[in-house]
Amino acid sequence: MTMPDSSARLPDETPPAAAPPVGLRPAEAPEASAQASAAAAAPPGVLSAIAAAIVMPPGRDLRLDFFRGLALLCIFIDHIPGNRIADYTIRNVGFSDASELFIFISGYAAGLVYMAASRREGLMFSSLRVWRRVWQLYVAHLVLFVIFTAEVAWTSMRFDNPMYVEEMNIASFLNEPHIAILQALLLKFKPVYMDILPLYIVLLAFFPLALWLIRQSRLFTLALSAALYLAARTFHLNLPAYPEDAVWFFNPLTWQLLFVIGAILGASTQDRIFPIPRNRWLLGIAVAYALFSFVVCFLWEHDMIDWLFSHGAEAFIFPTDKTNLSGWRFTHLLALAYITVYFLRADSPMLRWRGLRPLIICGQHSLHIFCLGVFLSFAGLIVLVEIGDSLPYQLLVNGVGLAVMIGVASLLAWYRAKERMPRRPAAAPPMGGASGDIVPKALEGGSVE
Amino acid sequence: MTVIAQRGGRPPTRPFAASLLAAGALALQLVLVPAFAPAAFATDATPPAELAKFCEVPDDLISDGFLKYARSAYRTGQPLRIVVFGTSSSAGAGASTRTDAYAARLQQDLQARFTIPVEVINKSIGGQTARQMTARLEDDVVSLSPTLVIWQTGTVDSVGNVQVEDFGRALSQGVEILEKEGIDVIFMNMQYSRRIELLVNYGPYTEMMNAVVAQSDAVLFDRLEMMRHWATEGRLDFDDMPRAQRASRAAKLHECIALQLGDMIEKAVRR
Repeated sequence: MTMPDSSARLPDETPPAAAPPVGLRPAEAPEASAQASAAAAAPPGVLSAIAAAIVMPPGRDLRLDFFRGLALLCIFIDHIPGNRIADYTIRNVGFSDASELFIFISGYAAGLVYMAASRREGLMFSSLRVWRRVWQLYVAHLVLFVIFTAEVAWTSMRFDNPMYVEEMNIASFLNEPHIAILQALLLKFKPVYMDILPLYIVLLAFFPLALWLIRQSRLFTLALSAALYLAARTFHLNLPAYPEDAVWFFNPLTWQLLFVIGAILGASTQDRIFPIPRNRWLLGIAVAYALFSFVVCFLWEHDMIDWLFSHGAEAFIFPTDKTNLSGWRFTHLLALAYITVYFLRADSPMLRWRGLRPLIICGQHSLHIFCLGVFLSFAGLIVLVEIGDSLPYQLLVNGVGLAVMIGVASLLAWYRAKERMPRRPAAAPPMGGASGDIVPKALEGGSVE
Repeated sequence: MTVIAQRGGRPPTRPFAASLLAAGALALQLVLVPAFAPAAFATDATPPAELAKFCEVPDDLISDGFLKYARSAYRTGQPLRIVVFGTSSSAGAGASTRTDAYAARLQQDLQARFTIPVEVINKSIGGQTARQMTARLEDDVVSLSPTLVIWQTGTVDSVGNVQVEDFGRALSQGVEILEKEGIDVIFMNMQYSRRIELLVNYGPYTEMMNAVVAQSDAVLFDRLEMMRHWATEGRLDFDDMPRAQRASRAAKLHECIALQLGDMIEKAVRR
């Protein structure tokens, strides 16, 4: 599925020679770079052809791609239970984890892209584009659901020990498939580790409303979103799920706050109505909070929390409420985002360092890589369960999984670039004309929403 | 199931009435237990040292928790009454008879360790969530005025996708009730199986239980990690077990759980 209409007029899609190529993996990068200059002229080997075709558009905010790629790889690693590598992902940095990062950046990117698009094409057209995207996500979720169901059926056949009578109830939906399928279609039935995509679907489905509100007043949108967040937390509101009495693991009524904050900031990058202040005091607070969060989480993980708090006082923080997005979590993400934005500019040459490119291209194809990651963590877990979970197997599963994700992202980037090439007019001016449009259009080059 | 047991030895202090009661209990045990106990009680033949070696777990899985009411019962020679409050796996699912379940074995194990009368009452019902268990806590546990509750929970909640916060609230409320009544709490978490990890995410629920333990006087019995250890060591791996072996291995598992629980309680009480 290609992105709608983005292909023909990408002012930033410079010829390969102008921008350095992307290595498939860090190890292969030198080879790719060596052939970079030749790649534009002569057709060399497949790998370098792919590398040469993938360009880093100069106008694009690579920070979004990078951090979303990071979140996607971390989600893959964190979703393999018992994975020792998961002790080194971003969830160990503090209260928040890859889920917050993913939702925040998705909100930011949606705000950035669709705000500009709605100015260009009108709100109705942009809304239809959002909903088209929602449909893609929905279909992807259902495919993952089918894979999971096959997995459960296969596993439960080999798992009928009366000892585990309660555990076996997880397969009880196989006894009433008509209900299970209906509940899955309604997004109420979400198998384990398949919660975040439905959250994203719901958030994006209501995004046109948020976009309309943002166009009216950003402060009002923020206030409304915060009010909904507080109401949901105060009155324990959540969407119903399947089986009976279950609720959404990621409560959309609370998580929308992070998405909306991201969208407002994203929408404001161009008109500067809501600029992010560069303030040393703010920076100091953010750094202090991030450090506090790191220390608290570290001590908690290592059962040394008593060093910091008297008995029971940590109850105020732990366990941080992920379902309802506790304040500890989302303020931590905002603090990290502020520190990042303060020190890492969008045009920083660091972002063009070859070692980061695998993450960047993953972030540029987030839907595909996200779904692939969910599938791969299933597959990886099956390997660990059925074959062995000693450290070599763990390293193998993580390594192969990451390599496949990065490899597929590279192929997608190459495919997309190649697909676009014949249709690209030599010097078509951007239709919007305004120079401010360059960034969002650049973002559309990869599937950014 | 209510058996009162007594063996020789002398606790630190013992009132006269307690001695009389103890003597009576001893007489009862000598006569009634051999006469009426099911065969499984008498014929279990694994020598203690061998069993201890088989059931060994790494030190970091052994809680150094503190059971204050059980300890004061021990110090004053009061009977130790324990309620096992769990779901199917505590009721004995998978073991061939209910007497193979760890609750019954714990009774035997503890009566061999202590001189005070020990009584273990099993109040487990399959398929209940923590919330449902908290609701029947007053009727099924507090009314028996035990010294200690072994509260096994978490499986039904994680399988049924119960909101983690709700699970935590149920546990905290339960602990609050029990602490107010002067009852010690040992929390026991889920059973391990490699394949379970494919289907259920226990993580948030075990974390929540750990948090409740950290924030109260309750103690954790980490059954999940102990079973993982026994499975990884190849001693009790239920995932690829021939059907014929299942019942006997399940009985062995319950023996190990009883032994580890006994160790834990003894340590906490004698501290």
